[in-house]
Amino acid sequence: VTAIRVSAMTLAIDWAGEERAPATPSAADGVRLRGMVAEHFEVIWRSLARMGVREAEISDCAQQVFLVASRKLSSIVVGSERSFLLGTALRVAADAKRTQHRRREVPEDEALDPPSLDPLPDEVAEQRRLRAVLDTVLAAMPEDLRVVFVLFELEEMSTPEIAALLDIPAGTAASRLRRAREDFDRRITRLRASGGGLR
Amino acid sequence: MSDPTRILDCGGTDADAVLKRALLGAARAHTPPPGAQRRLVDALGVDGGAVSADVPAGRRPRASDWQPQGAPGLLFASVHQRGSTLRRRLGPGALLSAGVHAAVFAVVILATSRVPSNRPIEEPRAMVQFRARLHPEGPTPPPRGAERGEAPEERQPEALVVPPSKGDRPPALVADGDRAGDPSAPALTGGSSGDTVAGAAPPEGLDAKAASTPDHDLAVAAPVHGGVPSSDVLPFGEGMSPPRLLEGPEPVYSREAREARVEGTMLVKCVITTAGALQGCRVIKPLPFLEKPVLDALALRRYTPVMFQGRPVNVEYVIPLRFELP
Repeated sequence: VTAIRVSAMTLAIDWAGEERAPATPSAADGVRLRGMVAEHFEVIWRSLARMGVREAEISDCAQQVFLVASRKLSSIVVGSERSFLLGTALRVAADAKRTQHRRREVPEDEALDPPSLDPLPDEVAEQRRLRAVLDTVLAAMPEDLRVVFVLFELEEMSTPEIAALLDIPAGTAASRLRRAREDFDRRITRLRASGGGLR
Repeated sequence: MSDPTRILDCGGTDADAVLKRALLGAARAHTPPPGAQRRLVDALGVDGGAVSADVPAGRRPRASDWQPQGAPGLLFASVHQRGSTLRRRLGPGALLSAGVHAAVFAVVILATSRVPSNRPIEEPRAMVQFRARLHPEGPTPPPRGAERGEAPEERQPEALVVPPSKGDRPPALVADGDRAGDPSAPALTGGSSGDTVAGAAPPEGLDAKAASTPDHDLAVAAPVHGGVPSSDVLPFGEGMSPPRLLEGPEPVYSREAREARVEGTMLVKCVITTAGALQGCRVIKPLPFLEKPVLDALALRRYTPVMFQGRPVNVEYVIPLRFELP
């Protein structure tokens, strides 16, 4: 059972619904949308990356998230922009991952620089290497646990917020978080035992 | 139930804890490439906004901090301006077109519904309705010839002449063979076997009879025509003297009708002229092999003219002729 209750159908419905929404942003809507971009773009971009979207596609997916928000701006309750954007990002990420296997081209970054435990000389490369390792670990986790783990550990959302975002009971969110952390710990221990290059 | 401490906030000095903090720290520090946010703003068409000068330094700008400025971007312009495109299509031109259509429609309605004052009113034309009962009332007597296995006798239908207008026209009349015993009706003889041919009944009781069996009647309307102009022909009705046979042959059984043992009632509608002749006769309820003998006989008959308001008139009249074999 996945916590991401999103499918291509859901996404299609969302986009179809937007066709009926007012498309011309008023001045006030433009101000609000621009503020949402300024305030939440990094969060959305980072979440998309940790949800498994390839780096070459993250910007496109982030753009898709905010385009959805621009069309549904009138229905977004003031103060809940972050939850709406994250929920949309989860759906967009799920859709992007689902279509990845149908694409023939291989992203250049992954083709040339697969995740490696070998140390790199500069700090930027080190950060990139660590993120690649983390993404490998996250990709191996069950999707429902991965979502809760990323939202809690990286985006610093509380379990009630996660529960509201995923439309699940708070107890379920807490349970998934506990299982996600246990799963994450096991994978890190196993990675250290097998890789040996992590310092 | 409180949330657990996040991994990045945990102390922990063991290798696993350090590694986990390193991995998550690198992920949290992950930022979009330079220009990504700018491109997004351009794509959304909300470019040109400016952060208010009131935003404190070091604080991330919020939605309320942005001021609109400039025109929307072009990437999604076609999507964003879909509504305005629709509004342009439904602009003054569309309203003008709708107004013109409504005016033309109103003019057409007025022109077709108004009757010109100088238009002559057509003289109402007499109509003849033939009514045949589908379900006879009351108990039906056993048909003649049933013992011989022949077809049962057909019930006498009603011929109804209905003037469409009121005025001084006489009301409609039912010429019913069942009313042959009415003393006011003339008795006409017909048929080679000496059967009685019932004349048209006087008009009294017409309305009550017609109204009592509306659902059982099958009406067939036809315009009056014959040798006399239709405008001069009146339907037989109240206030008219019934016609009486003066001279003329009786219809005779044809050989085929006799061999087929045809029996029943034939209805013939004719115009009785002011001279007493029958014109424009036509059979409205036929019998097999008997039409020609009947029409030949009627063409030679003469009746007393029908009088209405003291003068003879051309009247359309339904003559029932009953045929029975001995």
